[in-house]
Amino acid sequence: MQGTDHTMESQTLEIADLTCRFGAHRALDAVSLSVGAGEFVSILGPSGCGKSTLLRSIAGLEAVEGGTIRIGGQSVDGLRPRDRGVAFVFQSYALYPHMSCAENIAAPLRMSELGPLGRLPLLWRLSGRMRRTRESIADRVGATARQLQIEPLLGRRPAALSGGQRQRVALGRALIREPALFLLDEPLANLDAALRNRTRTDLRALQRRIGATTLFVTHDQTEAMAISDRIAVMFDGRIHQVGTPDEIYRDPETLAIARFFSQPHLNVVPAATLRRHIGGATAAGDIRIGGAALEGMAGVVAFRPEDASIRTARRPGLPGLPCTVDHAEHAGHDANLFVRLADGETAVVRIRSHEIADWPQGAEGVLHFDLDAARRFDAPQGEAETPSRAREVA
Amino acid sequence: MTGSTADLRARRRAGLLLAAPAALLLALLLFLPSSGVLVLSLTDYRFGMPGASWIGLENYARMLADDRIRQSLGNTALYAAIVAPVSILLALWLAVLIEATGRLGGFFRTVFFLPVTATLVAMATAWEVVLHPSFGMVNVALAASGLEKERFLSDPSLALYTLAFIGVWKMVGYNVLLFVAGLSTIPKDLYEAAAIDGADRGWSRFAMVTWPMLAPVTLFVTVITLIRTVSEFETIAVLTNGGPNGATEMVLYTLYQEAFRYFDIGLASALAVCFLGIVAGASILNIVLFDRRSRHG
Repeated sequence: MQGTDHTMESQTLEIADLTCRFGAHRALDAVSLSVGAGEFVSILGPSGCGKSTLLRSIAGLEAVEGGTIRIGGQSVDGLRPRDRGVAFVFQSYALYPHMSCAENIAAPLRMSELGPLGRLPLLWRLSGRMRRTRESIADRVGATARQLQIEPLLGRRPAALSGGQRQRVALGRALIREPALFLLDEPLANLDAALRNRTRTDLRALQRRIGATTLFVTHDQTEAMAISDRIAVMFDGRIHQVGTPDEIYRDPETLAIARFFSQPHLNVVPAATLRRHIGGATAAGDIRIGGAALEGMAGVVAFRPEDASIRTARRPGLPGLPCTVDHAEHAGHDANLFVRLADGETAVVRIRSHEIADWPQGAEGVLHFDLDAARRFDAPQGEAETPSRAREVA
Repeated sequence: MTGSTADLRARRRAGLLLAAPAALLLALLLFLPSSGVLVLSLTDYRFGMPGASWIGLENYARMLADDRIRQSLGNTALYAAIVAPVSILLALWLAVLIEATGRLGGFFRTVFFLPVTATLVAMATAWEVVLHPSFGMVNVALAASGLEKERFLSDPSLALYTLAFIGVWKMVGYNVLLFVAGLSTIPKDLYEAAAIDGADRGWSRFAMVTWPMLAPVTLFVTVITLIRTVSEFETIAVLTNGGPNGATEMVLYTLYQEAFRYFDIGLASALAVCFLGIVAGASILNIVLFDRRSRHG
């Protein structure tokens, strides 16, 4: 837009060995993360994994037990939140309900640029300097509002706005500080689905335009994949993997990450079971999964429903698992077909939804999957008794 | 459409039925006696006299001309003007401190709330002992530090202020409780947003978040405190009997004296109507302001 955009000096962020404890619970366990200047990094994980705590400790809202945080190469340990040069957008937006949108957006500037006297009503008129500061703040509020297209809302109170409008005002309050670092704590979670998709595109476009380094906390893997340069996956207070969306989708390092990125279903079969059904080799040679030979393999093999297919009869030369159809779930263009393997374990196959009629309950078939797309993982602890089960991740 | 009209009528009937018991009790216990008082205030009825005659607004005229009653109204206004602001501001300050102490909060809440739960007549007697001219603790302390002893309850220039002090002591706990409740409803992330915006402590934080968010509670506390201060009675009855020389007479005590000592029911009723008017005015103001706030959010 017409040259009024905020352009920020992007800063790097380096976190090393950050630890934070709530009583006996380790909310952050030696977390390390490096974010390049201008990069958009999502912190993704299930609720309670510590992702919000990480964001809050970067902002200085949570006391940490150990580790260092550097923004732009400068350590911010012991600095108050206001002095860290960060902006924070809360999931609840945390707008001041008694202030108009313009006052909400102006709040950080009023605090940093006007003294206590300048914030008093009327008194500021006496001083030319205060008058000029106020005018400059008003100009910047106008520019920010133009950038977010919320100019008509400036006079209204937050209570009179829709969720999406509030979100923009909260974004404006963050933007106007021209911060070194943007911290967004599930800013889209309170929007309805259609608005959420549009807003995330807008958010990403905005971030690209102003070039601010951004950390974005979310529990929604599609959201993270859609807008991130890189994703950091967190479980139980630890970062398990950091990578581009594609790296993490294709090469998840642990079974937990694979499950998280294969919602709602991931097929997990113990390597031993698989070997019993398809053997270790075909006429063409050894069967290899994720680059390793199935012969002698320990742990479990996981593959996505979209990498599986089902046929009525075994084809020679193509390893397959005999199965019985249980039921199908329609999902628009595609459908999820739930089948029972010979051992009584459940697997899910992605089929075209018009094929549902071909697979009535009780029908016999052979399940194939793309061996190159499958991955081997160590068997998860405590799951030895129920090894292969199509997980439904809530 | 006929169906929905019948529906509406049925719902109205159910509504009336549900509201009826409360409405009946209100009428019986509030409106009936109040209108009785209103009628009596227009007569010259006295206790023990065989009849009463209609004298119009004469009681009101007598009331305004009576020096004692004028003094009583003045005392009430002064008392309320001291006790209300002091007890509200003190309570707000204490509540913010209690919120900040965290673990000891429960202890302090109990301490400050104690006067509210205690029997006031017993407490007033305790105050009498504490403030006794010769052997009261306060005077012993004053004497020990070389100051003159004071007759707190019988010195005409001191008595009302002494009562006001006790009034604050009595009122502050209740107000603290209301403010603490109000503080606990302020969302934590507003404070966090303020901390990031630069208002992370002290006055700026109070001015940016706490005070505006407490506005509805403050309004309510103000009205409640005003009503309670203008209805002060027990401490006067126990400690000063309105004395010395009418220095601590207040509306309710004067009303009581007129009705049950001089049996001048007509005059007492006129006073009661005035008192009711003040209290009702404060309540209506409260409702109107509250309503406006909630509508304009």
